[in-house]
Amino acid sequence: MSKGAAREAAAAPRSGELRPAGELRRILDGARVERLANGLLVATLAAGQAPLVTTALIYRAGTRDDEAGHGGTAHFLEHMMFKGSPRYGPGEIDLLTRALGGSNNAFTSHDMTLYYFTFAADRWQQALEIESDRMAGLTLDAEAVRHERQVILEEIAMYEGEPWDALEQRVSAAAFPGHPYGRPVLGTREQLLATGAEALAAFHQRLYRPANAVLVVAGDVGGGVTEQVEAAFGGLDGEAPRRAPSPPPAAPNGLVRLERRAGEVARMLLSLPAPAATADDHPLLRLLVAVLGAGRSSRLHRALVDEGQLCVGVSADLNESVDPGGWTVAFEVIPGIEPRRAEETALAEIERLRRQPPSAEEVARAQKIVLADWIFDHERVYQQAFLVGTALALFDVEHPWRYLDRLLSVRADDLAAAAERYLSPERAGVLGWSLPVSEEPSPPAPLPEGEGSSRSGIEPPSPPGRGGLGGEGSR
Amino acid sequence: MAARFTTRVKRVGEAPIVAVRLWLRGGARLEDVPGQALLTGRLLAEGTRRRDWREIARESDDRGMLLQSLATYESIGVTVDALAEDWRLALDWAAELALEPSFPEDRLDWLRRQALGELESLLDQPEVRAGRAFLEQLYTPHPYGRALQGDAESLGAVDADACAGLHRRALEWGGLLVVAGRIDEAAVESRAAELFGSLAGSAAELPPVDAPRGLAEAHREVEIPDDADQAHLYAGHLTVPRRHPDTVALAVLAVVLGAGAGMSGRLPERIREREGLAYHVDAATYVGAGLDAGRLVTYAATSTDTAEAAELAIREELTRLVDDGLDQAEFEEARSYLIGRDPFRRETARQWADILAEAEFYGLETDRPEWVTERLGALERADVEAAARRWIRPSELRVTVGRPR
Repeated sequence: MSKGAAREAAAAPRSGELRPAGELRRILDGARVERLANGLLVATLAAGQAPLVTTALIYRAGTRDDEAGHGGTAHFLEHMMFKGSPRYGPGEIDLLTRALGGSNNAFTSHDMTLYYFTFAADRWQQALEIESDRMAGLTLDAEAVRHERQVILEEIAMYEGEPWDALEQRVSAAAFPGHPYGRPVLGTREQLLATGAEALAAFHQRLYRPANAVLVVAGDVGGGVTEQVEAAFGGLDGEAPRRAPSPPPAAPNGLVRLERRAGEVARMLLSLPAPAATADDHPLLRLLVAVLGAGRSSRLHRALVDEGQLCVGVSADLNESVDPGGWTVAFEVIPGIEPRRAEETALAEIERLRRQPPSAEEVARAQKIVLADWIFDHERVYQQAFLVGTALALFDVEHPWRYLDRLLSVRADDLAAAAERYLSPERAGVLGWSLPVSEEPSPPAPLPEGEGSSRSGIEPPSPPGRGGLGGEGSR
Repeated sequence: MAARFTTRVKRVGEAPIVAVRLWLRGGARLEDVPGQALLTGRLLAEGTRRRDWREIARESDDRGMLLQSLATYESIGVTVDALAEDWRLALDWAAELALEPSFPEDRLDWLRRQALGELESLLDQPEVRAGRAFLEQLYTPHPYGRALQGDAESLGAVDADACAGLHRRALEWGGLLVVAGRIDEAAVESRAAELFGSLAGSAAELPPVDAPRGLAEAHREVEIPDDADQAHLYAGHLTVPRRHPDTVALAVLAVVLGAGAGMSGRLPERIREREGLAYHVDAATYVGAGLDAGRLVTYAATSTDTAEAAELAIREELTRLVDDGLDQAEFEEARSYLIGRDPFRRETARQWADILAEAEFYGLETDRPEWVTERLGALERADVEAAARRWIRPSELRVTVGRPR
């Protein structure tokens, strides 16, 4: 490094000077939010880095809204949204998207379901026509329902075969007993077989209403967005029942241990309680989790990977959920290392952070990493659309700003109480192991090209949690 | 003679980000022992003449940088993603890691064990184990047919001197630097010239590699670790290297087969949507193409008792494509999709950095959006059908099916 660069680094702002996080402010200040007469919340987000427009339509309808005995309905319906509506026959939405050079997809989580399209800026209005048509109603042909159920059964089999997904499912069920976050997004085989067109139609009729949705139009949008949205959605009925609050998750009593046998690699997933995303403590816990697991110099990475040399990699994540959720630590153990040793090391590091809160230097580093990651993760138009849409659907549009502002204002002394509350596995948590079927080492063999990029340098091969503990399904 | 080292700089994006890519030619394609390139690439971030790995880790984390040293089949190098205000630091780090590595022996020992753990973990994933066997079936004895990680024996044979030797040769073979983001282009170019001036001159010629022949068996069954009743089916064969002029037509064919939006394409429409045989169906026509040939790959994750039906469907659809060609609407939709998708690839500083690096490395013009649009626009249906006849050969398909033990 040159002397000039060193001077530049030395002069760089420290934690207290990170505010304002200008990039977030730029995105949020570009958002114009309106509500149509039927209750549909519409956000227009001008972002001109590429001639693209993303539309994201979010329904406050997720796995938590599944009726008893019909688990997986929210996700099943997500699939059926591509299988026929008054103006678009089965598969036509994908064909049209392809012909227009766009992309589309959808995913279901416990708290919401999101549909999106990205098109070139001169043709994005097609997305409005599709979304309004399938919000108005679905055909739900019996044969199409039967066929798609089979596809989802294949999807369930695929996840059951994936080692991290299978472990995550079991840990979630134990971490959130009696709460929807403990249920699988895809449902179970039995629940799927019990769910037909009638249940899907009822779910759609109940929750896929304008007043229960948020539409974001983001990118190189041009003028007249409001008029075009009004023309597409203004004629739809708006009413939807308010979501009944779920009972708060009952935290496990003590540290619950579970174990499965699969494959040839030892994998551990630890889940501990976390507050809801809107809680004052959440940003504090975010920093504590970053001190533990963000970056190669983080405590867990050093203890388990670079110095301890016990694990291939380690990740620590925190969910952002409407109800109190969880934070997790996950790792895979190097062959020949006793899994218990890695577990004890991880628990000791969590305990150490609880007893000795981080130094000012560690907090400043964690703040910088969280801020940088945030900027890296919101560079694309669709990422900005999801940010604003999720905030509006589940929290409010200023939620990301308040959150980041608080996170960047925190000082090391502020973290002690949060550490005491959330870094206590012995009080409540679930520790799941997936252990090798056989202790015989499997023969080494080759594998696919390329390397991923991750903050810890080497990506744990299949980190858990598309969307964190509790997961999400995508068609 | 090609220049030993080239630099591309581009101001791009609204976000305050800079992306640095520094690639040196070499990689697993030119290693002496399997795993040598991977260890060499990773060792770049394990110590330099000025800093040990702890300092590298701490100082890059202090700035929120994503700093990684790595190897691919064709290169070793360094990537840095950083906040734009740190562009100079990012550039200096890339230069220090790439030009002044110390190859510490104690870190090499750890990286060997880590690579083996990683390998074991990857092979514990059903689709990866089957996919690995498929690559072996297509490429042996070419390096693409083996893992970047090598194996326990080959990793044990790599010492720090061997890594330093591969690194020295890589510097002679030359490479490239790309910097993209919200930057002052002139300032970046000036700093890059200061840092990499020592790499002036002509590049040494790359040595030849073993040509891919593949395994003799056309149909291969491998055991996979899986609790569920899922088979992982790969079918395909070699096609063309990255610079081949048919890649544009092959890209259209990939969309027709299933690489387009959502579940569109002949394979997903038949295997998933019509026959309900699989949740995940995919197709690509020159995936993995670099200096050497890429491959046609079709993939389905399906029940074990429907794997044969899925394989039959793949064969029939490929045959139909070659024999009957495309209808005009299908061709135009696929072409329109690719033209419409191109801006998606150019949204961010990091995407631009990767596009520029690839274009520079392989001598392509794909960094110019208008070149992509013109090439696709000039393509006719007959061109695509001719490419299908040249490069899709159902009678030569190699098939690997991974089944739970």
